Formats: sequence, C-alpha cells, structure tokens
Amino acid sequence: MNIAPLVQARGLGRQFRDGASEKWALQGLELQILGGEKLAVTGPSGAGKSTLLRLLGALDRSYAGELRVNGCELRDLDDRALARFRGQTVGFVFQSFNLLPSYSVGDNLLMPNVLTGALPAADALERARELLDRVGLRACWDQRPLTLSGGQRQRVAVARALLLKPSLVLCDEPTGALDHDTAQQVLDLLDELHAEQACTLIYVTHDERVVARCDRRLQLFDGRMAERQPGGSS
Amino acid sequence: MKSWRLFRLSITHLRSAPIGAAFAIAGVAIGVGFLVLFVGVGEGLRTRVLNEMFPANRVEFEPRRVKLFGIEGSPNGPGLSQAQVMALRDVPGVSRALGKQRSSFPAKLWGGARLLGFDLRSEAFFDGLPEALMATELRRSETRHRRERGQVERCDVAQDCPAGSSCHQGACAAVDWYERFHDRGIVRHCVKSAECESGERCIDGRCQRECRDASDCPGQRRCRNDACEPGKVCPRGERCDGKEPCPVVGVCEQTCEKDADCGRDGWCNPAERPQGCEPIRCRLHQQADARRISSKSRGVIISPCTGDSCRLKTPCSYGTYCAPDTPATLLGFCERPVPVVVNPLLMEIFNSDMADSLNLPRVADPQLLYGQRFHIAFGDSHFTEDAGTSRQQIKQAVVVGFSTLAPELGVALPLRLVRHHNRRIRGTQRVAAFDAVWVQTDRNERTAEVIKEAEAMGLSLSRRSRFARTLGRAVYVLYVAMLLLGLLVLSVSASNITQTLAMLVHERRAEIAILRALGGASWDVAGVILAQGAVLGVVGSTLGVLCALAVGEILERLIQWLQVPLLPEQLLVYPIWLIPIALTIGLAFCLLGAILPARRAIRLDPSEVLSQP
Repeated sequence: MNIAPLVQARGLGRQFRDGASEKWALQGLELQILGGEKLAVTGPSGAGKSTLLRLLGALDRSYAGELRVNGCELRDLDDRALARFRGQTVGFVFQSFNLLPSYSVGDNLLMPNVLTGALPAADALERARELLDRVGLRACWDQRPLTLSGGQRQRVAVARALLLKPSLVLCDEPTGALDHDTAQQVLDLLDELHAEQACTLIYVTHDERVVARCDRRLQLFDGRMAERQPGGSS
Repeated sequence: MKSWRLFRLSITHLRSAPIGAAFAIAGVAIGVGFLVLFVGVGEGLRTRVLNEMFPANRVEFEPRRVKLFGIEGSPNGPGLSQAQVMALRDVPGVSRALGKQRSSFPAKLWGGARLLGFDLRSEAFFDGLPEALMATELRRSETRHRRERGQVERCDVAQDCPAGSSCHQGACAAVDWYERFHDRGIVRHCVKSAECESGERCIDGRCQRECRDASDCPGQRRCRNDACEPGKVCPRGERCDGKEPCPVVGVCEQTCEKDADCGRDGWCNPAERPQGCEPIRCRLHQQADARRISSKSRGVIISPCTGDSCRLKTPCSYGTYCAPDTPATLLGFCERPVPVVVNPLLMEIFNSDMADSLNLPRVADPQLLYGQRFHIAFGDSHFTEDAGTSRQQIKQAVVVGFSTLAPELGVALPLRLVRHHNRRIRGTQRVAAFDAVWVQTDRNERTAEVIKEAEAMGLSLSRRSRFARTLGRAVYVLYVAMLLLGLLVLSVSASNITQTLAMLVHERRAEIAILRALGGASWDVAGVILAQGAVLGVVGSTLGVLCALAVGEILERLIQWLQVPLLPEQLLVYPIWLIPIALTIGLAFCLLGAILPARRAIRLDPSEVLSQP
C-alpha cells in the first residue's frame, strides 16, 4: 500500500435542490484514502454513498469543501482536463455494467483509449487483448455485450476499467446484479487485479462479503461519515 | 478526440438508429435534390429559353403609340427618323442601335416541296433587318443547332448529306449559312435613281453604289467614273448641257482579270480597263421555270464572256439561278437566292398547330430547314391588289438561319432589300423612316436606364419587347420561388434532423453518459452529434444531387419525347457552382439541425444518468 494519500477530502459536501427546499446529500466529510487501499463505502439508501462515488469519479463537480485526487483539486479542472482525469486516473465498474451495446466487446474495452488517446493504438490493442485474456473472455472479442451473461459482462466492465491502469477504481455495487457464485468470481478477479496493479479500489456496497474483503469501511448516515473496521457492526 | 474516431463513433451511433437516419437522409436528399433541380430548370429557362429568345440586353423601340377608341396610333408620326436612331446610339450604355423596316408591299411565297412533298403557299410578310444586327445572332443559333445535331456523317456526293450541308472530302461539311445574310449578288432592279438607296444610282436598270473615288467603295472595289457628255444623263440624274461640268461620280465595281474573280454571280467584263465584274445575264427557257425550283430554273447564260472560262449557253452556276427581270420576261440575271431568317417560334407554331391540321410531318430538327429554297413573288398577293407586272419580281429565297429578331409570322430579309421593294412599290416616302429600332446595351443592368432614356425621347418598347420583359420578370419570380421552395424543403429537413438527433441523444443518453465517464469531454460528445449531422448532410446531399441529375435527365427525355414547344432539348443548365453550393447548403442545414441536440448532449449530466437504474 502506498502511504501517500490518493484522495483527500476536507469538509466535503454536496447539496441538492428538492423542490423548494435544499438537502445535503453529503455534509462535512473528512476523508483520506491511501494509494493501493481497498475501501468499502456502506450505508443505508440515501446515505450519500453514490454521491460520494460520483464526486470521487469527477462526474460531479458541484461540491462544497475541498476534494483532491492525485493532488488535483477537482473543482479547478476545466472540462477537457476533467475528462482526461476520468479517462486516465479513474476506472468505473457499475452495477448495471454500462457496456455500450452498439459496440463489440473489443471496442468497449478500447473505448477509454479512443476517447483519451492515452496509449498508442497498437499498445492499447495489446493491453485490451491481454486484459480480456486475463478475465477469461478472449474468445468474446468480437461479440456484442448483449450476447454475454451478466458475470461475463461485469468481467468485461472490469477489464475496461483497468485498460489505462487507473490509480483509482470505483465500483458501484459491482455484484448487485449477479448471482452468488458469479459475484464471488468477479470479486476474486477484482482482488487479483488490485493486487497486480496496486490501484486504489473503492466499493460502494451493501454486500458484507465485499466489505469483508476490504481494508477499511466508510459508513455513511444521512450524508455524514462513521468509519469502521471491516466486520464491525454499524 | 481525433476526427476519424469521431467519425467512427458517429457512424456506429447512426447505425444503431437506421430508420431515423434513413428518414433524415431522405429529407436532406429531397431538399437538396429540389434545390439542384429547381436551379437547373430556372437557369435553363433563363439562359436557354429567355436569353436565347429575348436577350435581356436587347430591346426594340417603336414610336410611342396611343390608344383611341380601341385603335392604336402614333402621335409623333409613322416612324423613326435616322436622327432618332443616331440619338439613341448616343445614349450612355447603348452599344448598338439599328433601325428596321417592315414590308409594306404585297408578296406571296410558296415552296417546301423538297421537305414536305408539295408546296405550301402563303401571303408573305417581311422585316428588313440590318446585317450587322443579325451576324452574331445567326452564328450562335447555327452553332447550337449543329452541336445538337451531333456526329459527322460520311458521304460520297452532296445528296448523301442532310439539308444545309455539303459533301467535302467524304464527310458532310456544314455550310456557314450565317455568313449569307446579305444582299450581295442580288440585283435590285430600278427604272430611276429615286428607287435606289441614297448614295446609289440607277445604271443599266440596276441600283449601284455611287462613288467619287475608290475610298468611297467597300473592300477592294474600284470606283468607275463615267465622263459626262452633252446630251447624256449625269450620274446624279441631271442632264448635261455641255456648259456646266457634270460632277464626276462613278459606281463601285469589283476589279477582275478573269471570270473566276467575280464569283458565281458575275463575269469579268473585258470592255472595262481595268476590267470590272458585271452580273451575268441569263434567259429562262419558259416562264414557268421562274416558279419552280429545278435545274431549268438556272436558265442559260447569254452574257458575253472571256475566252477560257466562257460560260455562254451554260446554266447559271450552282448556288445561283436565273432571276427574271419581271414575271413577264424570260430575261434576267444569274443571282444568289434572297437570304431569309425564320423566327424559331414559327417552326413551333407549324409543329404544334399547323402540321397536324394540314396532315403534314412535323419538322423536329431545325437543321433540316437550313438551305431550304422557296419562291417569293414581290408585289404579288393572294389577298390584295398587286403592284402591277412591271414592278413585280419573282425571286428564289433560301433559309440561312433562325432568330427571334425575325417576325413570328413572316421572315426577315436584309434591310436594303425590304427598303428597295418598299420604295419601288410604295414610293420614297415610305422609306423615309424606320418602323422600329433595335437597341443593344453593353450590359444587362443598363437596359432599364436605356429604356427610361428612350421613353423620354418619345419612344416606347415594342409589343414584343414588353412581352419579353414581362416574361423575364415572371421567370425570375418563378426562379426565386423555386429556390425558396428548395430552401424551405431543406429547412424542414433540418428540423427533421434536429428531431432525429434529439431522439438519438435521448435514446442514447446512457451511452453518452458512459462516454463521458470513460474520458469523453463535453465537446467530444457534441462533436459526435455534429459529426452525425455532417454524415447525414454529406450522404443526403450527395444522394440529393445524384437524384436531381437523374430526374433532370428523365425530364429532358420527356421534353424531347413530348416535343414541348419553345423548350430546347437540353433544358436544364447546371452552373459550375451549383453542385458545390448545393452540397455545402445541405451540409450547413444538417449541421444547424444538429446544434440543438449537440447542446442537449453537452448539458446531459452523466452522474444523474448513470445513477438511474
């Protein structure tokens, strides 16, 4: 684990307008996440887990307080820099996979590089084939995502998230749509890749099996944080 | 994002919505197609119909006419004086002003047996037009007719070739008919000098040009001076009394050494020193020969002639005929046929109305009429009193071209011939003024100013020019309306594209959010949408242009098949700028249509979309 903090949040807050009233989805969050750390963010529905994930993934910049990822204050980045940040520093794994149905598995894998141009095309292709091989789906390169099973799709999503070797991988309920065995396989795969790539892995989850695999748990209640060691009760 | 990636993403997105994309492409294709077709038809109407028939820089003026109790009259007298024509030439913007005179003598014509199988007979009406006005006009129409005719035909003799051409070195060579609209080689008979043009006098029964020295004569002609002796008639018509010297005036004459120097219609008179060309005297076998076109109408030559090239007792040369001095005599001169110009409208009237009524074949190819000969009896009439045998003349005429300057129901002759017959039959007063004047401006834009100036001089546009200008305005309005209609269709297409792409953005909002999450910037996403608009625009516009060209081709074949009067076989004109401009306009409209969906895509919040189940 890298001792340098990858994520630093001070007084992090996010307010949403709900009709005439305003509501804090996150409020006064103080957070420090180290490089290579594996963190579980838990809490009941509406606690602010997904909001935190979107802020960390630079999908949302309208926050209060400070949020530094990899030393960058996200609010200060312009649209293009923010896009580059999302493409190269962050990898997303969603509960609903979010693969592009119009593209083949291979094209889905290559999409982050198509959008950012971070790697030369040949290198990106080699890395994509290597990752697909790693997740056991080499034969599916030309298939459309809709022809794959849920577990296979999530494995493709994991491979896509890791294509550009991001420092931070954000997983939003990665096993939520999978059966027990498939979920275990995907979690094993994520653990292996985490160990290989030394990236920071943040799970938003309700699944205690996922929490048990993490170094640390962040428990959120009504937008505020209560940090616990894995296995501890809330 | 590199542009090829943008393009690939756009294509992939569009392929995922094939029906919407197909409708959008069809809309653009229809809009651009309409635009190209409408401009093609509009330009064709403007350049190939209107400008050919009524060039915008050419107008005809008449003395102003006033209507009184339904009858038109001219308060400023019957015609235009030479001074008025000269004054018009001085109006700024006028490059040429040339007077014309209508025939005011009876005449009838007959002919066409070679083309139709029997002779058509009609009363004849003429406009006398200046040669200078017709030269360019005739050359242009003849060149166009030849081009429309197409390939070269092989031949052994002239009879193998179509009308209007001759056989030269095994190929049918077109004769330059436009060069023949002049009165050279045509004898203008006279009894006294008053029957001739000013500057001419009547000698040996023919009008000949007066001169004082060679500088008064055109080309390389010499001035033959007649010395006046007492008792003889002076060149100016005075009788010499031997006291006062007669002014030394001669007539212009072509010098020669042998008959060949005088062309087909003259011989080299050895009595002259230096020798001068004289028209060849001939004699018909019988009077009926003057009224039909056959080898006998060439008569036999009776002039004296020189040794080696003596043509005595042979027929007049090919291309000439023996024109009797009057219908009552067999004696005449070897002459070239009178050149006539036909209004293309006359052919259309014949084809559309007369041919079917008279059970005659239609004349589809104007080229067939070039070189067609027929007869004109000047001073004779089917309807009114004739001019008397002594003033009548039967001449052969030949069609040398087509022009809208010619009268619609009649033919145009060289001005001097019409003036000559007007003067002989109706007297000198008749030729004192022109009936109308053709004015050509140096630019189309100057025409309106020139019309104002002419109106201030007491002139008004002729009925034909008024009609042409009204027609011109109507075509212009039609042209603009068609352009606007094309743009309207394109606007509808653009709105269709907006809807298609907006729908695509809505349907693909999850994908757009994923692209943003995977590293796509707002402008990358906007670029994908705009590129989709561009792809739709390029494909739709290209299809539209191709469809328009195809429909245009079908339209032209239909016009050819239907033989629509006044419309040329190739109606559509595509200016060189049209296709690039149409493609650009199509693309621009599609990009405009894509702007709104692109803005929607930019404003789409990926975090919100991705948080939805």
